[in-house]
Amino acid sequence: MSSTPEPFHIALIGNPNCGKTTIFNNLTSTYQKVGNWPGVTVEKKSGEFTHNNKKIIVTDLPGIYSISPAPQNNSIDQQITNNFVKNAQTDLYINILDATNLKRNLYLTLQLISLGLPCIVVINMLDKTKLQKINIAGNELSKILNRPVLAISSTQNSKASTQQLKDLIIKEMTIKSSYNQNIKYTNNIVTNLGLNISHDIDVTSLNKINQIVLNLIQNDSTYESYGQALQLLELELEDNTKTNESSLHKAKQEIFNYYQEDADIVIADLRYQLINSIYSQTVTKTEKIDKHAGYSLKLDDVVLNKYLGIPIFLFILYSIFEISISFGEVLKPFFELTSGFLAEDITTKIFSLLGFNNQFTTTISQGLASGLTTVAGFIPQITLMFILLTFLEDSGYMARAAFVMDRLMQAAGLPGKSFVPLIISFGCNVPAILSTRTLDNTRDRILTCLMSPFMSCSARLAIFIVFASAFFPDHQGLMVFLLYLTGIIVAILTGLILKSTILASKPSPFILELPSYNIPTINNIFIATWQRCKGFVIRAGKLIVPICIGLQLLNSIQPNGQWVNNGIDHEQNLSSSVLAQTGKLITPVLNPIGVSNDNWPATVGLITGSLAKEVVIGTLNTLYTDYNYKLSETSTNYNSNINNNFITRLTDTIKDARDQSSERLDNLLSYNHYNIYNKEIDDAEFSGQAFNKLSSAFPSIWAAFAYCLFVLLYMPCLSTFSILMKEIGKNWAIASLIWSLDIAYTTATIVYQVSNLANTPYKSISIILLLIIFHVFIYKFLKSGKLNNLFKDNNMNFNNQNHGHSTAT
Amino acid sequence: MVTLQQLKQYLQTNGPSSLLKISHYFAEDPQQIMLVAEHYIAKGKICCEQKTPNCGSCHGCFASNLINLSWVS
Repeated sequence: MSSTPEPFHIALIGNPNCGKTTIFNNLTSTYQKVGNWPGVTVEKKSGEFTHNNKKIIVTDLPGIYSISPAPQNNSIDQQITNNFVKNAQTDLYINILDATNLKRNLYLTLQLISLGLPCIVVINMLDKTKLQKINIAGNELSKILNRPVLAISSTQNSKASTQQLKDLIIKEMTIKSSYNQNIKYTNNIVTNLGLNISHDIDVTSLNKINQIVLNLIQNDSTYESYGQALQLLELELEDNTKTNESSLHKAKQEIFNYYQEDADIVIADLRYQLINSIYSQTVTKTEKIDKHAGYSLKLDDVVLNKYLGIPIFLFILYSIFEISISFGEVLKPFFELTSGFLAEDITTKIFSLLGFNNQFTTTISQGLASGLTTVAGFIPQITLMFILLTFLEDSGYMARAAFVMDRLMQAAGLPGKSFVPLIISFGCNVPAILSTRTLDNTRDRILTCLMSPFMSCSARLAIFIVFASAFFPDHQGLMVFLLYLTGIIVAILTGLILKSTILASKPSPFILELPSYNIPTINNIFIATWQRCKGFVIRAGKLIVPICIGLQLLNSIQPNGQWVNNGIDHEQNLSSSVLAQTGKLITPVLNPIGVSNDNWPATVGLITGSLAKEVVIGTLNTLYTDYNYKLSETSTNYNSNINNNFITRLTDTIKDARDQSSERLDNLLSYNHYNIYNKEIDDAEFSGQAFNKLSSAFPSIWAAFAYCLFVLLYMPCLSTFSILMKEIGKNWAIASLIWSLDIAYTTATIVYQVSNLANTPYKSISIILLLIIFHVFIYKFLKSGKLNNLFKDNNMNFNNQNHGHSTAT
Repeated sequence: MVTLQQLKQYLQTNGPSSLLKISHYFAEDPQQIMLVAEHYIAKGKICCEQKTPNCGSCHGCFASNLINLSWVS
């Protein structure tokens, strides 16, 4: 019986934003999220590949600048990598270096080498050094580091580069190089560190520390290598429990006495000297770079301009929504009509064949069709938005947007670094909250987690699109843009209030690394868009479809279990359904935001929307659709069409979709927006009837806008709430829930009441005054510090073990 | 690349300086300087302060100009 050979384990390690995940994706043919800014990977990920019949398991580690002897002092993502290096048994480290920042990247390399860890060095982003006329002598570097060095560009010629890397990995695994194990320690500290630097280093001043380390190794067998002894010398003694404290303490004292500096400073300084020497021996610039000549810098002069930076960012954001919505409208009929047809036609046929009565069959098929068309209808717009956002992320502009907003946030005393997670929130709040792991300061992290849910995610975009087309047909993009802007403003306001009350502290100093501009590859855009769309459709579909069916059922039966009758008093009967009765109970609470008592479906939408924001639209679509009308319409259509075969009916549907798309495109190109959006009334993902009812359900456009504001702000969805509980603890998650409900209610009420001042001046002013008084009281209460104890000892889950790691194979 | 000793010497000689000024002096990226400075910041030997711009929102200040490093004697 042949046994399967044990797989090799390798780990990708390097500085943030050096291209580790791109190489990971190339090696394992997986599609992990990549981005052109530091801190995209915040947890370790695993994948595998087979090369030359050898199975290799790859771990992608979050980026770190150095291996810390005391990892508990670092941010969570850095702790993950530090603990991996400390504990994990990996056969080989692939140390990825950013060729454009070689000096900074080499610090980690020197640490890995001095620890005697098996590693090969991969210099990535070679294409950029070519543009900058920087030449890196790989062979020379390999000689100095005593490690194989491979220079590649992971984004260009990725197939060839990946093949070379795989070959090198297998070669290293096969020969099983045992680094540093046969080193005979000498009086030369450079050689003892596993390096082969021939000149430029004044080793005489370092003789003392070399001697001290050698004494440690010779007198104490607990030190496995020169590098390990050196690393332990960098530890604060209270962190060191397993080693011989007396000898280590003595050694540290001896170093201090000689150099008048702590051991860790002397060692770090030694590494910087070594880096300077290595750099001068291996890197040459063939011509002097004029800093302002590069296109990247020229572009930065514009997009980071002190006057233009923020307007450009806002313009780009606005353009994304305008393009996504307008062009998405053109493609929408294909998705809506086809999915609606398939769901309704097939379900009706199956249920009829199974002998179910007409009422039940229609209820279920319409619930299913309503759910599916709701999800499918948004695919074109969401896809376009993801394509544009990914383009901006990959190009490096999003990091610039963070930089531009950073200055604004700093001015308000908020952590600038937190804007990166906030930008990620535009896609989904869950990864955004996870990405706060890159923040070093716990308070900044909590603050950013509490701010993130206010940034409008793609799910909320779907709701805004429907409301915009119903109430603001000529200014859809502007309305959506305003809602997004409100989200940003409320997020900043939340930060300001918390910073001045229960999370009072000075902002951490922060320098944002601006990645160089990239031309995004079609492959990366496709992968990222596909992943995001898939996530959206699956997540939305899993919830929307069953909820729509459930709602349709609840809306079709009365509390006594009888079906809602289709008689003359159908409207009255419908309002006696289980769902209507429940909705009516809660609706009065929402009167101040413009939801009238008979508009109970809007209330039900908010309740179901707490599971996932996408569900709001599915719910409204189901509840605003006239059951009686639908029932008769479907029966008639079905009976009239039943004689046609399925293919013919499907072809007709596709033909309809094509005609509608073509008409919308013509209107779009002729700037006839009204006609594009008006088509919604007939055939949107939101059924024509539902659309008409929605348009008349709210007393004014401001009531509809207030409702959208409420949806934007009212509470994190279930997934976001769960991840908040996991990342910052139960107390903070509940605080986020209460705060967002409060801010949503207040904002929506103020907007609606101000718009209603002319009609009911006394009532509106009274409500607004009451809200202001209530919030002044709350602010003073928070400022008093009475709640601080509640949050001081909350069960914040910063333990590395609980973050786990995802696996991608 | 600036070494710890060079940075220490600079701050002892020149007194509190903005990160932008230091990075110009050593012709290094501000982030690079911060990485080196962090060794001393962790020990309390270098004090790192972030100034809030008085103007509030003109965006005229480079972030690195708002970060001040000073040697704690």
